[in-house]
Amino acid sequence: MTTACSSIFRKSILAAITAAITLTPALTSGYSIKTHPRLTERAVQFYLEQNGNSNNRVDLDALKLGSVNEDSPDLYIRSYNHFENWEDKSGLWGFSSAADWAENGELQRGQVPLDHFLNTGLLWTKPLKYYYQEALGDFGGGYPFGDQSWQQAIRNDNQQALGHIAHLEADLTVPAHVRMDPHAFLPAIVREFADFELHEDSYEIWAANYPEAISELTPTRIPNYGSLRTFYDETSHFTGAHFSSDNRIDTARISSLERRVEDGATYYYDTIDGKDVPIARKGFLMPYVLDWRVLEEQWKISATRGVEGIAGIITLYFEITNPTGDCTPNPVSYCVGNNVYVDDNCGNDTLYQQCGNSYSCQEGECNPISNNGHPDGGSECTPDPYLHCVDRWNAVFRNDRCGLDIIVQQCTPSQTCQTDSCVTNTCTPSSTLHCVGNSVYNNDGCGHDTVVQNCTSSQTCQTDSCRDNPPAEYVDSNTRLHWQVNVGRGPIDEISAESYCQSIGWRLPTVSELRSLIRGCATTVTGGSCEITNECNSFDHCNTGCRPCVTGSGPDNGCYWPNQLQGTCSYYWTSTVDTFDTRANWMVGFENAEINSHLKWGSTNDEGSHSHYVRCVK
Amino acid sequence: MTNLTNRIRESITASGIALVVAGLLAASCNNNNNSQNSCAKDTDCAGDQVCEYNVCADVIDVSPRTAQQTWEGLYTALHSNDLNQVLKYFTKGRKEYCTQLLEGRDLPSIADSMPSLPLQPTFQRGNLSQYEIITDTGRYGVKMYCPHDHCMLIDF
Repeated sequence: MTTACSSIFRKSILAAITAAITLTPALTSGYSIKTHPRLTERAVQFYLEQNGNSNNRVDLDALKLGSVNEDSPDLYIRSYNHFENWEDKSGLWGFSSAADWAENGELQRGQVPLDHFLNTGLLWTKPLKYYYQEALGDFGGGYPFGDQSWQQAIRNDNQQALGHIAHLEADLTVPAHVRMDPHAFLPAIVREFADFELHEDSYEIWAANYPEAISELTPTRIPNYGSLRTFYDETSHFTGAHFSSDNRIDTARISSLERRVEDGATYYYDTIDGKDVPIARKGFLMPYVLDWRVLEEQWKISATRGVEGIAGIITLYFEITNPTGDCTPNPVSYCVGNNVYVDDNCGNDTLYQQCGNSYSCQEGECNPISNNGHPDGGSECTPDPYLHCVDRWNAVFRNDRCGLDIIVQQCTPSQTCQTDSCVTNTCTPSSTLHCVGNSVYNNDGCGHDTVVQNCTSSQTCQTDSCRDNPPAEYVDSNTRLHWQVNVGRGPIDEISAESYCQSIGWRLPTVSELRSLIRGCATTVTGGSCEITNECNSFDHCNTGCRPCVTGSGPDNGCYWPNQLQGTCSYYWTSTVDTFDTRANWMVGFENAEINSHLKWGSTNDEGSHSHYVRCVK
Repeated sequence: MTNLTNRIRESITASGIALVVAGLLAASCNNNNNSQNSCAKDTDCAGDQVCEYNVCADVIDVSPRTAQQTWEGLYTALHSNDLNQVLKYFTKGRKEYCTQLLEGRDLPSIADSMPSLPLQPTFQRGNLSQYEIITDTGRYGVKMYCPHDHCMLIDF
């Protein structure tokens, strides 16, 4: 049967496939380029149904074009960035997640990192000039970058960019895109000339080959998540939590679902939004399969979510750019210098577009400058001999006169791109060390710092070295007691103080122990005239000779404790009960070296508050 | 068909700016190393691959094949214990999954367990079709995708 294939047609397919393989070592896709504009149109329709009286102008054609262009030209690999792991939100194969891709203009400039395995040295360098960059970057940008004004929002090119954003939301309703299931397809060049739909994910095949399915979608609400990332995160999680893809069947989950035998066929059902939905079918060769009926039911739920999500993103787009909803369009634009200005009721004489060096403002529009006047002549967008460095890539690029940078030479790690060429580094490692985070780094003289030492958790990088953190304990050489250096808690009642110390394996000090920390007050230091001790603890009999010292005159910045201690200089609880009034415990006030009895908890008494600080001992 | 071939070749050359740029890159960058797939003639390529545009490429069979022929071909391939042949009846995207599923298994016994023909369609929408097979353990769906009358199995 294989040999019966028409050799000519076989070669035809082959040739196109070869081109694809030459330029793309692997291919992924989302919904077909047929499906995306359908979903986008349905979402715009739903948005308008819900916002019929809004002044916000939605350019349906622009959105649809953007939703298609996010996957084209296929030879560039934006689709690698259309994934988002439903559990950890990562991207596919080290590429950015859909959310990162949408929010990061630099990523959208369309280059695969030069050290990525997919960078074969061929063509991963074309910036997305005609899409994100032009719409969102060169001319001031719109949502979600740059000038988030309504004037920018209603521009055709920014609404195209919104279409790109919508594309990503739709892709995250495809289980393969959130379960990291790359699925090959052939690029438009094959589809165009061979008319051969070769998406390799059956959910996408179903959506692409059944255009009437769009009428089965019944959106009911416009979600409001407040940020683009949240839309993507919510959508990817919903899709991944409920549905499997061809090659990422969630067998553990499916086997736990309700099993129903229907006329001999076994289906596994889940309840989603109150509705019973078949998630998979028992297979003959394969344990579980996603038959067309399962996929149809999944489509109704997932694609509906996608339509609602896109409508929500459009809503967000205008909430940001036209928060009061008062702006109304004024189509008149005009040139001032090389810039386009417009006038409307939301801001007279608003700068609408900066034409830049490659465009000329003519009759209120930026038009490309002809290359006829260029010294080298030639047609538009021909390579410009002008070479320049792009620091981010450490590479030499040239310009094609239309603003597209093309890589000419990738500098090696031992080279640096300078002006227009790769220059061998003459790095002289510096002996100068410095801290970055909690690590010590050196300087190699070329701006590439390396780690010399990672400080441990008990160390802190300070200036140029790891230094031991201050000890958490202070050992009193007189008593050999171990004290917390920092105040543990407070102000709290005595019961809570005891509980706290116990919870960390320490204990609340007795009055004799805490008194032993007093420094510089002759009456209350250990051995002084004050008779209060663990043994003599009755306020009635032992509170003699305990006159405190002058407040704020202690040896540690006014505090009557060792200078190794830190914390608030105030009252501290002891565990010793006042046997004269057992509702009270003894405490030490280090601000004036006072030893006194205070109620443990409850209402305050004449001695003051019942809430004090805690310094535990062991 | 010849015209189609030429159109594709022309389109790749004319609209495939990427190819042109790729050439520029190759000329500019000495570190471009694509020797693993480069070729001058078919014999430079491994297995069933052929040499096109100096690159080894897989051949995809797109000849007409009905669902019944696909099912019968699968049966024959399984009975012959020929896994590579079996995989040709599935869509390309299922190759890895099916390899994992079938490698090391007794393929002829799977063939013997397959129910008798012919297949009966229970679902038909454009290029999408589904057939049902009934065994003593139940009823199972055979999901196929048949663009241009070339049917491929996705799962069953």
